[in-house]
Amino acid sequence: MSMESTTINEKYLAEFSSYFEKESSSIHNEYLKILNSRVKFYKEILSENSSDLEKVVDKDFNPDNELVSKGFHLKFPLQRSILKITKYSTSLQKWIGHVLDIDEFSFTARIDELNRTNDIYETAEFNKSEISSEDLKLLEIGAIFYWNVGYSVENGQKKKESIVMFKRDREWSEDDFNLAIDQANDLYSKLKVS
Amino acid sequence: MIKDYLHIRNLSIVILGDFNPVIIQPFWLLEKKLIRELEAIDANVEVIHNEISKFDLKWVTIEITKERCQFRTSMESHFELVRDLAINIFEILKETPLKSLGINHEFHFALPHDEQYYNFGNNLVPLKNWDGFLNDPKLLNLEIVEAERKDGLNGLLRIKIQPSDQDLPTNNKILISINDHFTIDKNKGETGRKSEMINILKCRWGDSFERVDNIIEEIWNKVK
Repeated sequence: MSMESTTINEKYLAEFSSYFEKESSSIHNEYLKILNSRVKFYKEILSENSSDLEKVVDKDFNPDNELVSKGFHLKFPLQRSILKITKYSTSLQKWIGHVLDIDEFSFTARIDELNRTNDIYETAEFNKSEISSEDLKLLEIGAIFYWNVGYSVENGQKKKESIVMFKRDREWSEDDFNLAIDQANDLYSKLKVS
Repeated sequence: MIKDYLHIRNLSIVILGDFNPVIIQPFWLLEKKLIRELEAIDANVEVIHNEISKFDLKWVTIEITKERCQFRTSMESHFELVRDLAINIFEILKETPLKSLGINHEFHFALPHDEQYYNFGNNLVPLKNWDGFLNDPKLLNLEIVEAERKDGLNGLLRIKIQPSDQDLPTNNKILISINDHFTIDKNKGETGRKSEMINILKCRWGDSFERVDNIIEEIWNKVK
């Protein structure tokens, strides 16, 4: 370990801070929070094994790089996999739902069992209070959601749960619509009427 | 049914291609409305770097290098959301070249009895074949490949059986990993390859789960 290396790390952190302080958006503040915590984490680990510090300093660091690349220039051996799984969930049954109707406090949906090939479906009513506030923004007629009934396990503690999660789709651009129209036209032109 | 002894089921979607790791990160996913705001704020970001990005959103861990992008989860309740996330990301990143896709399933079982555990290995690979020159042989790892896919698509199916390293209720722990791997035809061009890969995720997803579940049961029926 050399003092110069430590100084370089601190200098980088100061530069990140200086850069982000100029930005007013909350997103950049969140970045700064994350960056600070990660750099602190790496420093703590490195202080326990000082001989590794030389390896983690990236000498090619350029503070003028793009915003996101300012984040981390500490080379550190990353863990390949999670060693022990302490949080997981299982499914007893899963459905995919399509919203049919919405009332003040509830909504009705057609539900089909997931990964089943039969055409049998049911209709079910769900309380809006069972949906997370962020998913409620996605609630509209035709919206798709997944409903899972099963167990969640965290640190050995098992509990039964029922979760409704709305499907998120990217926003379509004008190009996407144009491409879809072109493909539809192409298919249509190939149709042969006997 | 072997599923009576199943405790943890993991899923990972692995895509090989040419990626820019710094693009895919929590606030980019939020900006594209692919995750919830709180998920982006609470994300556990391990690293975001030109060479690798890795972060955890509580229901999925995403790791991207320049050649490989992996979505991994132990939340069976969220498997479809992980698939949707992968599809949405690569439909947005239109210019990102993709080469192959793996839908990887992992099952961690714990058998209640020592005898069942011994028989599981002994029936898969008869240990009498090793008698005489090994003292008390045991099966440790087994890997079987289907080099030509049964469904006619390009790719392979790889099954790996080994002891599980997870904390499970008994010591008779088995991990079965099944790599459902799809290779995409180079002659289709970048756009064609990408749309085929996305199409596999959309349309072959259920088939992959059905086949893998059947394989697990078939293995159990042969060795129990």
